[in-house]
Amino acid sequence: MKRPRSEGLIRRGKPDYILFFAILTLLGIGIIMVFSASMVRSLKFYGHPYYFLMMQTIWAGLGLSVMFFLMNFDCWRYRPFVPYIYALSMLLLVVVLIPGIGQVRNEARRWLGVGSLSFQPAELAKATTVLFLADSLSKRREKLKNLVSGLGPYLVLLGITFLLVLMEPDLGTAVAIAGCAVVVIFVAGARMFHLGLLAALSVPVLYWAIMGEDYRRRRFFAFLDPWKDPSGSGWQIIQALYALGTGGPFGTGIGYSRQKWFYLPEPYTDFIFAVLGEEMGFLGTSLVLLLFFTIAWRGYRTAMAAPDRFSCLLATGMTTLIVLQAVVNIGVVTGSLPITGIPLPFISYGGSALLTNLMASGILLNISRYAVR
Amino acid sequence: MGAILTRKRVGLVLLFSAVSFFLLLGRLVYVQFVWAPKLLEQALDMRMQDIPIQPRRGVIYDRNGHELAFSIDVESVYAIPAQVKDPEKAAAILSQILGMKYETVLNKLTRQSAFEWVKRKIPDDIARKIKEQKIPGIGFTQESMRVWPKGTLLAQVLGIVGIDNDGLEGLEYEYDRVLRGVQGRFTVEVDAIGEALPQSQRGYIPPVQGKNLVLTVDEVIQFIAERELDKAIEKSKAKGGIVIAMDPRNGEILAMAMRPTYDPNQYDRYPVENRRITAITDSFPPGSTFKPITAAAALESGAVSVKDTFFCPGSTRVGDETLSCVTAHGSQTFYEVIENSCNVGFIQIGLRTGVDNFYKYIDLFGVTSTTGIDLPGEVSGIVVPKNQVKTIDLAVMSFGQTLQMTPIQIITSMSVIANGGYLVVPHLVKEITDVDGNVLERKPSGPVRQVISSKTSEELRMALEQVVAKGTGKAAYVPGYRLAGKTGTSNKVVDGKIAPGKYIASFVGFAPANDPRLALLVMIDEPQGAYYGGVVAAPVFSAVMRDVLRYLEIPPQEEPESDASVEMCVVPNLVGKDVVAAQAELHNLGLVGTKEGPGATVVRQFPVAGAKVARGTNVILYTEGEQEPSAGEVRVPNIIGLGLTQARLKLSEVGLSLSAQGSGFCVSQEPPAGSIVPKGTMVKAVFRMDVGQ
Repeated sequence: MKRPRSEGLIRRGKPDYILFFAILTLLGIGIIMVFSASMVRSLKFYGHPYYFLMMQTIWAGLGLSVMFFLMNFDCWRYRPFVPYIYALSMLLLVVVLIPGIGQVRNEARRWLGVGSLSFQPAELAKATTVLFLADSLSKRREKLKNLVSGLGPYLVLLGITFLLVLMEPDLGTAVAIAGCAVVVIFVAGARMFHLGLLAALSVPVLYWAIMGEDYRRRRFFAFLDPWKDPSGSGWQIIQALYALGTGGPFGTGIGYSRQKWFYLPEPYTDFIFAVLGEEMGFLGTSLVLLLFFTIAWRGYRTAMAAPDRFSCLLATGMTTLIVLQAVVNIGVVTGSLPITGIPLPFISYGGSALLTNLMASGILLNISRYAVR
Repeated sequence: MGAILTRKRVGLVLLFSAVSFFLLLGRLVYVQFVWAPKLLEQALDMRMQDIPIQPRRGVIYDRNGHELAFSIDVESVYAIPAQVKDPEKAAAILSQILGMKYETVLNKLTRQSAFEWVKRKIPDDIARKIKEQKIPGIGFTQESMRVWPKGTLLAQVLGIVGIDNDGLEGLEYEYDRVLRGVQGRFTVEVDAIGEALPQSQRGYIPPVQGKNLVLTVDEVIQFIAERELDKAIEKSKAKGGIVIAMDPRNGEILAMAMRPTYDPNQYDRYPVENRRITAITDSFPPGSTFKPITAAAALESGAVSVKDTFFCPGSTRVGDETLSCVTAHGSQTFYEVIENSCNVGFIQIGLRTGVDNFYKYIDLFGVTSTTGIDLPGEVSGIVVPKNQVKTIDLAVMSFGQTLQMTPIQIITSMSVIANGGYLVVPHLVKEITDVDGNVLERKPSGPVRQVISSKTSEELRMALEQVVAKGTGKAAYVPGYRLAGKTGTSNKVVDGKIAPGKYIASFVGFAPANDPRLALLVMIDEPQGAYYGGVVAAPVFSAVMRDVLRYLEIPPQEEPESDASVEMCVVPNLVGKDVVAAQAELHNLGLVGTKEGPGATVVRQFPVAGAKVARGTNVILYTEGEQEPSAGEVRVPNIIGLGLTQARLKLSEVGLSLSAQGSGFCVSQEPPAGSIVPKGTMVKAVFRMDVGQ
């Protein structure tokens, strides 16, 4: 049980309540929206409107327990086990790919477990990757200055993680993991020149990944002009924009979304923000935006006030985990970014994601208790 | 130092995310405030389904309220291509049920459009089958389908409608604005599958139902006319023919039959020419049927008096040309000239009348203009222009050649003679009524002008009565009635030239001669073999007159002047007697008995008992059994096992109406199938949902 050097000087204080309430408010809005957005499909497939609400509530309960536990269980106490946790997480990413073990839904092999009691290893990998990077990078700051011996091994490890998740396939999560990792590495002190080089090198790879297949290219650029193919690649974005437009400033009222009636393809997962924008209008969307900004502000503030490098990088990574996904998801729904398949943290339906995000929140709140003022 | 660099970098990340959130906020302001109205409009455009509601097209009734054309509700299937989830599967199901080509259906389902008809106007059971499949993006709307329940009856006059119920021909075209009504609309906000959303916006603009037409046509008279026309065409192997029955007093058309014909319910199976209303669109040389006009002009202008005599040597010279008559008629009175239809006599009458008077009267009779009948496509007659007319033209026109008239003009001018001298406008629509049957408009039927004096009219009626009594029109005679008429035989004119060997045999007349109630024209187009009007057309005239006068309950009269040579006798009552016995009894009286029907007992007879007829008259003995339903009667069809719509349709085809009880399929009917009942009888039927099947 290694404690930071300053342990003796800093006493454990109260968690950041602003952050805490922002998270709880988003979770509350999320459960209401999941119910409203999913009832149509729940009714159709399960005969009653509560199926997705029930599942989400169970996961939220579980997630909150984990969050409260981690809020009170100091991050330094499990730091020695981080390499093992990361190794286990990587193993699960491999296991889920084995046919017969990993469950296939919507042509993607992403789930481990039985029936509805299942989770996505890739979601867990988001948190464990951040954990691993925070632990490892805080120990070898100087080495990081070297491209080959310092940065190299991390890039290889991250590359493997990225590819494993991409093989499921789960582009959204892979992008989220890569994004978080880059931010943590950047904050950890990697040379700007190296990061720039990395960015330059990734251009041809990205180009190949996007332009290589015609359907992927069309899907990628659909957000620029969705009306070019309104019934194909542009459909989702157009329906999301219709929802936001129908909502206007004040919305149609909770429960009164029109677009959730089979027009929006994923009304309670990736496109839940559109339903929210339709039912609560700009009032709701700006509130949600404000809450996520609050998380960014309080989260990075916690990182800046963290007592040591490990907790600083950890807080940065966990905040980025939530904020990056929120920005990308809202960007997609408003037609500002290409469709990636990233859910909206705390609000979209999905147990593994909710659990991971609340786990991240717990760690963040724990670190906030040690803020150096 | 390291810690400071780290904090700086975290701060950069925070700044970067703050900028991102700010940009997203800007985007949301744009989308939800600036762009929102347009997006909402487009979204509503997508979610609002606009279903047109066709108004019910008005019914066309005959003068007694029998339906000649009406609309029934049928389902039409449409697709909203954007909402069809699996076009291949949907196309496979639809093409199989509808009996359409898979590619055709798939093409419709994948088209870039908001609305696509899959198939319009399909039977109920087919629609039900498709509904059971619950295919997303496939919907139904009620449309009305035009039904002409009597099939070919009055077909050309009634006309047809297009797929959108717009009148294309005949009365359906002429009165389209009356019949059509105004389209309504139903808008409803639907989900992507096509079901109405809860608390959705709805709009409803009700359609204005079309108005009904009540015709002057009597379907029974029409039926008689068509039946006799068919018989005559079959007998003479003619190309076609026309029968028009009209009330000479007011111009009401009672029947207008034309052959060849077609069935408006499946008009695309017939040649287009069959749809032409030849009675008003085609003009022919009227031939001898024009002679009454010549006679009227001569009498009315004072050029000729009924006491004048005319000599026919068999031919006459006009200018350089020699015009011949059928035979040398010798010296004739004015009446005899008409009776014999003597061309030479009429040339003399026409020349005496002179160009000015002749043209004055053909104008007054309406030869040079259209009659104004309420049908589309009427043409006027053709005459040599007055400033070009030569003596030879006048001579030839006097007996009805070189000029041309439409059949409706011929019967209209005959009506002038029949009704005391007045020109009337022939018309088909008597009244326009609303959905509840209230009369909205009554069509005027008064005379346009007086053409000839009642005295001239009476003199001509007498002359024309002689034609039937002893002249060229003997075959038009109906026992017990006073008939007047004129035969006509003319060469057909094809491309402005006389077509040798192609004739039109005609007969036009009216009855009763002293108080005309019915004018009738018969034209047989290109009869084979005998082609004289008196031989081909007059018997048709007689047959139609016989049945129509009886149907109109116009009592038989005595002969105008009992010719001493004709022995009269009273028809005995034969109803209930054995046919053989009845025939024997008639034989003893000097009458002939003709049996109609396979039975052995007389159930009805014509002429009825007590009628005074000439010796030798044919008495028709109708027998019991599998007889053909007579005019105004029909055999009840079997409707057991049929659905409501089909049952109603089947009954209305023969002129019966349905009183339905229950719903589903017919399980019983009263009167039973096969019984003979008057047209318009209500058939009571019980319908039941067959749960067992």
